[in-house]
Amino acid sequence: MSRRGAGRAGDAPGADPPADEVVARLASDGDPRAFATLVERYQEPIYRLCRRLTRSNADAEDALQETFLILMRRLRSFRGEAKFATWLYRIATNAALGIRRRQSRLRAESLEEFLPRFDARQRHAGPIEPFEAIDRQRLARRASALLERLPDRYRVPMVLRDLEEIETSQVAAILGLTEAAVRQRVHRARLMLRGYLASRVGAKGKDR
Amino acid sequence: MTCGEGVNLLYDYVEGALKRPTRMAIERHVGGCPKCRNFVAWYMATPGALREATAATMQAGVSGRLRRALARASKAR
Repeated sequence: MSRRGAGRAGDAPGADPPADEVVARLASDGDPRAFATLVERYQEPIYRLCRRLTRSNADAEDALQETFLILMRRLRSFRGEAKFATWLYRIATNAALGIRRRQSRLRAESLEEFLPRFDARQRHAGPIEPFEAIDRQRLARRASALLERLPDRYRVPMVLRDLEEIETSQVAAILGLTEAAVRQRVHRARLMLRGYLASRVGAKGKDR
Repeated sequence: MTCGEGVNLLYDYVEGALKRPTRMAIERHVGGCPKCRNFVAWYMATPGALREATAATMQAGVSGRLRRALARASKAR
């Protein structure tokens, strides 16, 4: 996760860009170019994360601005005990979830009907649809709405781990969870989403 | 190994976090269980499909508005 975006505009051309933690220290000492470098490095990934967590371009933009405004205020308190990226992603996740809750227009519905079922001998109880090419257009139309159906306790770790591709240990640090809890929650989210995709979004699935 | 036991271990299997005997036991089970073969294929395809379907790039103007908001906040401090 860290160093993503290194070498983009704002970093010196031709040289190894300085680590986030070094840039953050300069920024907290009042160097405006260092702060601008952090913004350049992270505005795209933070926007993408916020878009996935809020489902709306406007809310994602609000969360993006809130994240960097908080960063500006709190940079002096960054002590380097966590990676800078972990710290920033924690701020962004909280900002995005705060905006979602303030909107209070969204209510997660259960996807538990899509969890796998087993018989008394722990064998799959029902048919498992053969894997087939996923209809990407159909999925793109409904993916955001589908994610909304997951409760936050499953959705947020899954977004960080599977969609942002952040290591399990870092997701645990961002969310203040144990790694075991992250594994359990992401796994359960995958199981529900797998069941949904297999039955509803496969090329031969019913478009319900 | 049963289907249920295998499903419970899938996260660690995909992460490469299982010891060899457990990994081999899963692979032996999946090799002989068509339902689990289908299940694992869907399980492994799910994150990538959703990642692709929800990828978003910043719209025009977002970066500029962010810079202006930060500049205003910086002046106000």
